[in-house]
Amino acid sequence: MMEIIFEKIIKECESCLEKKVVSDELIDACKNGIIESEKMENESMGYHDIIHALKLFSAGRTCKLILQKCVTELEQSRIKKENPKTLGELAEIMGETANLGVSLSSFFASKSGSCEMNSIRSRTFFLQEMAERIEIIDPIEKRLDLVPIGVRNSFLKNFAEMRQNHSE
Amino acid sequence: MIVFFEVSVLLAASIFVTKTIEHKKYSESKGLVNKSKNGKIRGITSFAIEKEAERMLETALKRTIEDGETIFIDRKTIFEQLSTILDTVQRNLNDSIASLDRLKINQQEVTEITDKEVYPMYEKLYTAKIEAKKPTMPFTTSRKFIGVARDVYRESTVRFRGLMKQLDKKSIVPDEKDLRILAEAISLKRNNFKKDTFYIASLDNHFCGKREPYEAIPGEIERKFEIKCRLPIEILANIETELGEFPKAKVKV
Repeated sequence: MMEIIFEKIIKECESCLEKKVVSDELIDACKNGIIESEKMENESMGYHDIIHALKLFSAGRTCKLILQKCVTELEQSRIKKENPKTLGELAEIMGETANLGVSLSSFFASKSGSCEMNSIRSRTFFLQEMAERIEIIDPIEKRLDLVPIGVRNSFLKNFAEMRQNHSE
Repeated sequence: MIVFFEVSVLLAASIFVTKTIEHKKYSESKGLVNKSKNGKIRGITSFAIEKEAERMLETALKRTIEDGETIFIDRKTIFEQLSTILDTVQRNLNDSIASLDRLKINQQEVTEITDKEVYPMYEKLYTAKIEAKKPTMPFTTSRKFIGVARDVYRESTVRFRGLMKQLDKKSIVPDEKDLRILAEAISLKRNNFKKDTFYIASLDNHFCGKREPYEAIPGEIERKFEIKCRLPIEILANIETELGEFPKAKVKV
């Protein structure tokens, strides 16, 4: 079911590109994609391995943030009547987001192993870098600034202690 | 110049959480990675090193979760914060690894080198360390000095026990993963870079220790395997001297 929702985004994207018009169906498909991404975020938090859980969460969140921004851009472009230009810019990233959404959905459906996880991880990074480049999401450094300094310090301290024990 | 990047340097080059929170060896480690990126050196690493680096980052993050810092934050916010940290350091790590070559390594050969050459080398260093420091009763024929000789012997025995305790705590012999890392470097040197100057870039005392009880390790590795184990800052200084980019840098270790 979840896979179908993301596949719909790809299908609507292709159809809109052909017609050079942003359709209601595309915006609705993206909105459904946001809901599904959020569901996957929540589902990932219950995953038994915490590192796997964080990786899945990051993938779901990346999809959600990109689709949210895409919906805003698409709606604004309709108001400004700039459909073809905006659509061309966003089509590639929406397609990649939907592809990650499909992989993520099938992962949750089948609970596949580490091989699928590696692919999800590299797709997540690829998508993040792509979205940062076209300024759909904030650069990772900026997002990191929002993490409280105590948490960042705690990570650094734990890491330093581990290396100390390893005779660094 | 061939530089084999060991886990510690790859990790140090990835821990840049913000301008104010970074690994204390970040700039020199990242500087060396950048030399590989710019083609000034040939940087290499192995799949096993990459996996070990990832494992260590993930373990540090797991410990952060157990820390009190995140105890009062709601679960979704914790996930947002920690996944951002994980993404940042893993993307940095991927970026560093992307500028290095990962050559095919014969794992059977690595096992043999580990068992027949690397482990015996460390074991020999450990034994030599103990033998060199083992106290002996000072020889004297004069009854007058027997008491002093006993005191001297007693003092050196206490010092020896201290050293034994230190050796026990920070054993000269590294864990299995580090033994294999050195064996991988030896295998690469022998099969691919026989005539090249070959460095291992490391921050780990088991490879480039400068102080007791590790100080003999880098010299022995160089003598036995023609591999120079150095800190990133030392390799950077060598590159600059070799390429004539800057006057010889003073290296503070």
